[in-house]
Amino acid sequence: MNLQVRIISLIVSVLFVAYVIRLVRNRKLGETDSIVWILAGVAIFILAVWVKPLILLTKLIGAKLWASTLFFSGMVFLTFVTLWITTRMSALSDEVRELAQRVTLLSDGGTPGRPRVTSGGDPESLSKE
Amino acid sequence: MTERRVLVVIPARNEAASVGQVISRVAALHPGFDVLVIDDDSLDETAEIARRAGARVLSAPVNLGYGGAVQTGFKYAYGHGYDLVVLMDADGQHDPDFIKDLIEASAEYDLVVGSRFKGGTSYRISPIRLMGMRLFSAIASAITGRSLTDTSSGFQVLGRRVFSLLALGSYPVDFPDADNLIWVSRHGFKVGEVAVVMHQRVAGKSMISGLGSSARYALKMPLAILVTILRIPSAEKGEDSR
Repeated sequence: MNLQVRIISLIVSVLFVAYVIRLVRNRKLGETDSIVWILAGVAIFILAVWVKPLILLTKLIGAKLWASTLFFSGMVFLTFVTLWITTRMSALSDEVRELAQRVTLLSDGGTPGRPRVTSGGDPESLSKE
Repeated sequence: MTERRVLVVIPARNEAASVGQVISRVAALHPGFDVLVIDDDSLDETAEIARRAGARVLSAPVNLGYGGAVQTGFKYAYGHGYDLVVLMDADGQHDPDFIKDLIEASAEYDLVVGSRFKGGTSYRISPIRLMGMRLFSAIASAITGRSLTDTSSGFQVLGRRVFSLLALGSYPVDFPDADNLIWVSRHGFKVGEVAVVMHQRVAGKSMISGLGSSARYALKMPLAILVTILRIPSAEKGEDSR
């Protein structure tokens, strides 16, 4: 890995983590949610400083270039993050529906409606033995 | 001999043209029933007209979707101790004359579906949709082991244990269909059908109209059925505490 790539990676990872921390400070990102992104930034930083694990991993998975390993792991990481976010969204929409239904149930405080009989109709008794 | 408390649940979204008439007819035939309209974020006078017709109206703050509105009705019935829920549409397709047939059958079944196809009643419908309905009915019949001909019918009578299960557990949001009948059946409840005549809708438009939503329906339904089969049934039948 040449020096130029490593320097750019270092700068990007530092700026990225700083930005994530700023978002947390401004309460635009929850602390728990920020962990995964801070870890990602730290991982990029470590790989830029210490190249050995990346080269080792490249050999292990049989890739020719360390760049392929990077792209591959980045894709796997993003796929899982997206999936995780989707599960959070499903949970949230369930919660929103539940809340909306409760609001609906509270939208009228009266007694159950029993329509007035407007035209003739024989009342039938509904009894079960 | 105790009188059963019956709640008629009518989900309605922009059905001002027909909802009043539906409520009046139900009231004339069954003066002892309570009527609950779930106004699903309508933009017209649905809620106002329904209230004037004498129904209790609950208005949703956002669009809950058909299933979300129906489930709200089940939750109400559960919370207010009703014994039976009559579920019917606000658009005039479901004839209140048949409510008594459905209720009669509820002595035998836990969930009674008003079927427009049982007994060969004629109902105008596009051939593609009919094919889909037939297919999903066949699948549902095969899985539940009961003869079901009209799984997409929203004209149903549900016993307390069934609507409690659906109120407290999960219920499909957009169109409860064969998947819901399979789900109910998997909990050991008896699902049955009664022949009804359905009218062409008085006003408004169908939930499943146009090519896009038909395609979505065709894709969603098999998936929903598959998920229903794979899902683990609730430990308790209805009446669980939450």
